[in-house]
This record gives sequence, structure tokens and C-alpha cells, in this order.
Amino acid sequence: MKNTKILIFTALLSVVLLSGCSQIQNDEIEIGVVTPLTGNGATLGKPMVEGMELAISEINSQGGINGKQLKLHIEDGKLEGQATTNATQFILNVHNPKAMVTLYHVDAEVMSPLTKQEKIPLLHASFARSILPKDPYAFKINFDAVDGCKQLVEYAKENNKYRKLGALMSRVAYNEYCLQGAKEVESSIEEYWYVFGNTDFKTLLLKAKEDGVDALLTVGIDFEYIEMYKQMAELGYDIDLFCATASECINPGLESKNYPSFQGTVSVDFVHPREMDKSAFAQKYYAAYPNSKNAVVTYAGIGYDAITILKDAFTECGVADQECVQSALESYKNEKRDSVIGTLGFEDRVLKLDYDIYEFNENGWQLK
Amino acid sequence: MVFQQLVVNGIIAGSEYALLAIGLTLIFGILRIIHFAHGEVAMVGAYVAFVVSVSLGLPLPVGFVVAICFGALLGMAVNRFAFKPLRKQHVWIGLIAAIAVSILLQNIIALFFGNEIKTYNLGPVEKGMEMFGFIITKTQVLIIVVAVALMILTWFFIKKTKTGQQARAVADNRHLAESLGIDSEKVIASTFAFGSALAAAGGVLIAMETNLDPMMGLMPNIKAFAAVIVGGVGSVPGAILGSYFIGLTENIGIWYLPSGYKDAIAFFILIVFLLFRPQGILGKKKEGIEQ
Amino acid sequence: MIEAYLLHLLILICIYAILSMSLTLLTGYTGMLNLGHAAFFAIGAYASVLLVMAGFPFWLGFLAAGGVAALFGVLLSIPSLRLRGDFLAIATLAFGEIIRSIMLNWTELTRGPLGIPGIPKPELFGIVFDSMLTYFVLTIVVVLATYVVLKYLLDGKFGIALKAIRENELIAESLGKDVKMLKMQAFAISALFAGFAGSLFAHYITFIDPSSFTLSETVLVLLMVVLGGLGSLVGSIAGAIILILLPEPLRFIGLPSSMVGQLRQIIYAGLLIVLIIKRPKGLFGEQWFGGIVSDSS
Repeated sequence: MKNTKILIFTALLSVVLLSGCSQIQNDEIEIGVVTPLTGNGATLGKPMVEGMELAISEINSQGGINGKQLKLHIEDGKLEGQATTNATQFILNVHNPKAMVTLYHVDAEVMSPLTKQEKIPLLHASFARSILPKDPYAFKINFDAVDGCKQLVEYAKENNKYRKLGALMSRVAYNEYCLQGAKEVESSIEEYWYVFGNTDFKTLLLKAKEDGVDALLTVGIDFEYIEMYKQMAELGYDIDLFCATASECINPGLESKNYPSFQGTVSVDFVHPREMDKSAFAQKYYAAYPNSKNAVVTYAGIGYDAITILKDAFTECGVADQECVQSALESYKNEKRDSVIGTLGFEDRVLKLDYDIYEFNENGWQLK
Repeated sequence: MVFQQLVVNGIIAGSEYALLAIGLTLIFGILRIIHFAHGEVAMVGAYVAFVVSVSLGLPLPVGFVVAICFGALLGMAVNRFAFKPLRKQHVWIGLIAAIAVSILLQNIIALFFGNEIKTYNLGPVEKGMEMFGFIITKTQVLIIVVAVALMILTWFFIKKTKTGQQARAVADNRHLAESLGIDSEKVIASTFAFGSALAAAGGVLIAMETNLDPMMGLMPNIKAFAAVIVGGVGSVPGAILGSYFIGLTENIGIWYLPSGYKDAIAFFILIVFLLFRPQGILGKKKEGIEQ
Repeated sequence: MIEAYLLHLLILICIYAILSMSLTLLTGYTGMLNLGHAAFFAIGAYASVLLVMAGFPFWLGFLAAGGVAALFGVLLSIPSLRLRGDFLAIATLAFGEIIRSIMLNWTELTRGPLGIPGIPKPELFGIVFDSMLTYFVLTIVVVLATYVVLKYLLDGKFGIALKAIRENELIAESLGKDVKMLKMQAFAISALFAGFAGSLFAHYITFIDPSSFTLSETVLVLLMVVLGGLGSLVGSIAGAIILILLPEPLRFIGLPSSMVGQLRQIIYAGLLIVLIIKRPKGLFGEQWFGGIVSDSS
């Protein structure tokens, strides 16, 4: 019995050691990504990884960067602090990534101290800026919940889209930030919190209605939005949803369901949801990943663009010169206009995205 | 107006939990195993109905029946391959096996169907019916009716059929039942089949209301378990009562308390019952307490 | 560089070894299944972090982590005075989930889902433990101390009394053991060390949020205790080593991105089932005579 245990232990250890030794290959540029691939967070994580893969296979088929092929190392962070830390430690120490990419805020918080030590860029698609002051190598590549929700509520207030505003939010970081931004414009917001994963909103909607709320602010994922809209329609409450971002809120799969409660939705986004779905990039993405036809294409675009941004920096500097890569990223301006999500470059390491307000009516999303 | 709606919301939730709770109480009553994977059996049932009704285009009631049959088989398989080999071990080993099975099922389904939400083709969504001061949709009425019908069926099974009576005997005292000639393994297998069939039915009903995703079974199972304790372990009427109790208290609770604590409410009720009435509402006195 | 990765795994193994030893005291020796153990881990982590970030020295945070967790341990021992094994397990599960709900919703204290970033590395006797190697030294010292203390307690009268409770509580009581006091002590000591582990964890990862302290963590520690063998300290350490290392080789199997997450989980779950069926007593487990294997009476 004792011998078996020692055997198993040695076997595991040797696998870990031996496999690690064989990984160093000088003719590849390695990039690491840690994001949820299972569980509730995977709805956005998977498209982002797929977008990255798409970009990488295109670049590689055209000869790579300065003759070197790109290699992506993917790990499942499960939206859990520990799993993400382990995955990050693994990629950083067993492989030799020149950049790391991640999606959710919690994952970025856990990864940033580690990537900072290695002085490699961390491109994170989280909704908040709080990592940037602490980590000079961190770059934010997604919607900004504080700014975006502020803009959204500002528009709604100026255009009298609500009498009384509420927030129907899951207890997650991106909602906390969205609420922060909203409160800069509207100080009195009724808060209706729920546990992430919950899909029964009937009683909270009733509560909102009884409180006189006629608009609810939220940031969610597809399985939440579909239920909110469905239950609002079934209960017949006259409440509008203010949500961020539009392409996540009523994505193409949901839009085809034509719920009456879609009407009156006000949203903010940096891409036009309908145009995004019909774009050349989307067709390319759907062709490569036929099971993703209802995915949130914007996130595939974010992943794709992350690689494009890195490619430009690596092409200019080579991979060895970390300082050059850092300043190339900081001064990235998307001059080639080859960005899928329509960025205008980094400003203070935040991706400059053009936010627009959208309203949903009988003809779908309308730009305001 | 508000009160009636809250009650209705609670009854809908309770009906969903009840279909899981009945299977749990039967299984826990006999084996003392916390069947962590019971919610996943429900989830698989929902996906089976999805394949039949959406992918194959057959009407949903057909999918419902297929799901129930599949659920029964799945339950028996789980018992045969995960629990039975560990029957002689300490009961917590079975718990670990159940957890492993639940991870397995969640990920197999996610592998084949993806993580994105799926829906049955139930027709356009429209405002529910307004009656007696509350609003309820046809689907929700169907859920309650089918749940109640299945509960009556279960009562019939337990009280009137030989297998049901044997199940009660085994739950009460396995050694005694065996010494009286009851084949406890067969009874356990039937219990798993029955309880899992009900879970699969519950899964389809829950999916009709809140759609399908691989994680959909997790929370309902835990709530159902709370219901089992509250109602009294091994008691089917208790499981039903407990389910409605939890469903109602949750919905009425978040009316008055901060809604972020919704799940904590169910757990709090659970602890209160465990401390002051561990045998549950309908259980026998000796249940749960140190002898 | 691979040494850094191995060091990381070793540090985690140490932290989890403390956790699993603390759980085996409760579950393996005393026979009380605690499905809310991650709550003690979490309470220790948050207590230590909040104190240290308010300016108090690390040793105080560390001790407070254990102390506050121990208080909650005493609290959780109250149901154990009345409830039988499997019902107690459910009570502990509920307790764990309530603690997590509070962590998530009491944002004024814990910052809820935003978590607490920027946790400083420990500073003791003027040394700052900010390299992997020094941190490993710190954790291994705590592991050894934990082992020594627990072995002393469990090999002596305390341990024998706990095992007596596990085997048959009535007999234990009739032999003059103050069962209530013993249970309370078992919970308190178990929580104490889990709290220490929490402090070490928080200051290592430098960021904590409720997602690191879910039922999954409790299940992981329970697996370590069971696979290592109930009622064996050495077994708990072995369990920690096995379960931390188990998922790692899976990273080397190249799989397409659309399937990698699910396939790894499936393999992991499959391995668990095989392991538990082939070795249900664990590697160093004891033979039990009582327990809840048979019926309820």
C-alpha cells in the first residue's frame, strides 16, 4: 500500500517534470489565456478564446510574426480564484508566454501580481479599471462599466426614459462597477440584488413594480437576460430594461424570440449589435465554429483583436525586447483599421472604444 | 394583490423543488446518502426532452415521457455503478461518488450541447392569465398540475404497491427487512428508478419555466434537500410540504429581507429545523437525534 | 522556471495539508462530517487580511485568523451536540453556505464580489516573505507545527476520547467522557488550524474573494481526508499531495479549446470514481467499527 502511494506520487511528479522540460521551443511565440471554459462564465470565455484561435491561425498561415509561429496556451479558470492562480502559475512557469489574456475581473486581479512580476503584458477584458494603477503592464480591452453605465443612465435621464430607476443585479464585480457609474448620474437607485446563477426573478420584479420602479439597470449573461425578459413579459409589468452591453443583452439568438418586453430596452455598446452579427468577421467566426451561432460575437471579436494588437507590437519590436513591446502597446493607435470591435487605440492603457446608445423597438436595435 | 402573487410564486417554486425532493427523500430514507447528483439527473432529463422535441421535432409530451424513462434508467445506472460498489463502506464515501457523478454529468452535457442556454419550442411568450389578484402563465399552471399529479402517483406507489411497501420497510430497518425475505438491492434499484424518473420529470418542468443549461440542476437540488429535512426524512408528504414551505418562505423572505440572501434563507430555515425539530414537520421523533 | 511552478504547487500542498489535517481531526477521528469546512478557511483568510490591511502586524493577523475561526467552530459545535452524523453534515453544509452568503453580501466589510486585492506579504521578525522559496519555508514550518501539535493531541487521551465518540457515543459517555466538551474542543481546534491555513492562503495569493471559498473547496479537502485515509494525519498530508497534483498532468494533454474544459473535468471525475471504488478506505485509513454504514436505529 505504501509502495503504491510512492509509485503514484513519483509518476505524477515525473510527468510534471519531464513534460515541462520539453516545452521550450525558440521558434514559437507563446501567448497564454486563462478564462472560464466550464460553468456559467464560459458563455463569454469560450467565444473569446475562439476569436483568439481564429486570429492566430490566420497569422500563422500567413507566415507568422517575423517568421515565428504563434502558439496559444489555453487554461480553464472556472471563474474561481484558486483554479485561475494555478493555471496562471502553470503557463508562466512551464511555458514562456510573451503576453497573457483574460476576461473576468476576478481572474485579472489574481493574475496581475504574477504577470507583473514577469513584466509581461496582461490584456484583460474586464469591465473595470482598478487593476491598471497597480500593474503597469496591464491593458484593459473591453467595455468600461463605470463609464458605460454612467453614459447609459445619463442618456436615459436626459431623455426622460424613466421616472424611478432600479438595479436588478447579481452580486458580481461588473455589476458593482456599473452601479457605481450609474450613481454618479442618478443618486437614488433602488437595489435588487440576487445570487449569480439564480434565474427566478418574479418576486424581485414584483418588488420593483410595487416600489414604483419603471426601469431596471443590469449587466448580465445570456441565461439571465432571457429569463428577465421572459418573466417581465409574462407578468406584464411595465418595466424597461437598461442593460450593458447591447450585443450581450439581446443577442441574435434571443432576438429571434420576439419577446414583447424587448421594447423599450435602452442599452449601450461599442459595436452595433446587428451589424456585428452580419459582419464579415462574424461570418468567418461562425464558419470556423459552427456550434457558436448564438454566441456573443463581440467577445470573439475582443479575443481576435487582442491577438491583432499583440501582433502589431511583436512585429514592430520582436518578442525579446519587453520595453519596446510595452511602449508599442501603450502607443497602439489601430492605424491599419483592422480592429473588429472598432477601437481607436489605447489611452492610458484603456482601449478607447466608442460608446453609443441603442434603443430596441419593433425594428430591432436602433442607434440613438 | 402582492400577497397572492408572492404565494403563487412560492407555489411554482415549491412544485419544482417537490419533484426533486420526493426522489431525494426516498433515496436518503433508504440509503442515508446525500444524492448530490440528483439535480443532474433532472438536468439530463430536461436535455433528453430537448433532443426529442427540438432536435427531432416531436411534441414535448413525447419528450417528457422519453425523459422520464431515461431518467429511471440513468438513476439505476448511477446506483449500480457508483453507489452499489460502495454500499459496505462508510456513507460519506457514497457522497463523494455522488459528487463525482454530478461533475461527470454536468460536463458530458456541456460537451455535447455547449454552455449556452437552450429553450423548448413553447410558442410565443405573452402575458399570463390574471386571476384572483395574481398573474400566472399556462406553463406555470401546467407545472403545478403535473407536479401534483405525480405526487399523487407517488403516494399511490408508496402506499398501495408491494414495492412501495417494501421500500418503506427497508428504509425503516434494512436488516430486519432482509431477514424477512425482502431483496433490499432490488428495492433500492426500484427506488432509484422511481425517484430518478420523478427528477427527470421535474427537470423538464423546470426547463419549461427557466430553460436549459448544464448547471440548472445544482441549486434546485440543494433546495430540495432542505425541503426533505424540513418535511421529515423518508416522508413523501413531508418532502412535498417542505418544498412548498421553502418555496414560499424564499419568496416572502426576499420581500422583507435583502434579496441577495435568498439562498441563505433556505439554509437558515434548514438549520433552525435541524436544531429544534430535526425530524422535520412530519417525521418521527427519533429521526436525526443522537440516541 | 519549472521550479517556480513546483514551488507553487508545494506551497498549495502545504496549505491544504494543514486544512486536511484539521478536517481529519473532526471527521476522521471524531466521526463528524463537516461540509462547511471552507467557511473556517474563509473566515481565517478574511480576518487575517482585514487586520493586516488595517495596519496590524502579520503575526496578529495570523493568530486572529485561527482565533476567530475557532470561535465559529465553537458556534458550529452546538448543533453537533444534538444531531446525528448525517444530519449534522447537512447542518454544517447550511452553515458553510450561510457564511458564503454573508461574505458575498456584506460588502461594507468584505467588499463582496470585488474581493480584497493587494494583500501584503507576511512580515515576521523583520523578514518579508515575498519570494516563493521563503513562503514555502513559512508554510512548511506551519505544516510541521500543525502535525506535531495534532499528533500529540491525537495520540494522547484527547485522541482516544475522540475516537470513542466516533465509535459509539453512548458508550463514551457512560465511561465518563464529557462528550459535549470534547465535541466543542474538536470543532474549535479543527477550525483554528483551518483559519491558520486561510491566513497563509490569503497572503500568498494576495487577492481573495468569495469565489475561492465555495463548497468545491470543502469537497476537495474532504476528498483529501477520505483518499488519504480517515483518521490518519499522515494520510491527510498524502491526500493533499495527491489531490493537488492530480489535475496537473491533465494540462499536458492537448485538447481542442471547445472541449478542453469539459474533457478535463470528465477525466477528473472519472478518476475520482475509480479511486474511491478501488480504495474506499484510503491509503492510510483505519478500520472502523461504528459509523453510519448500516441502518438508522
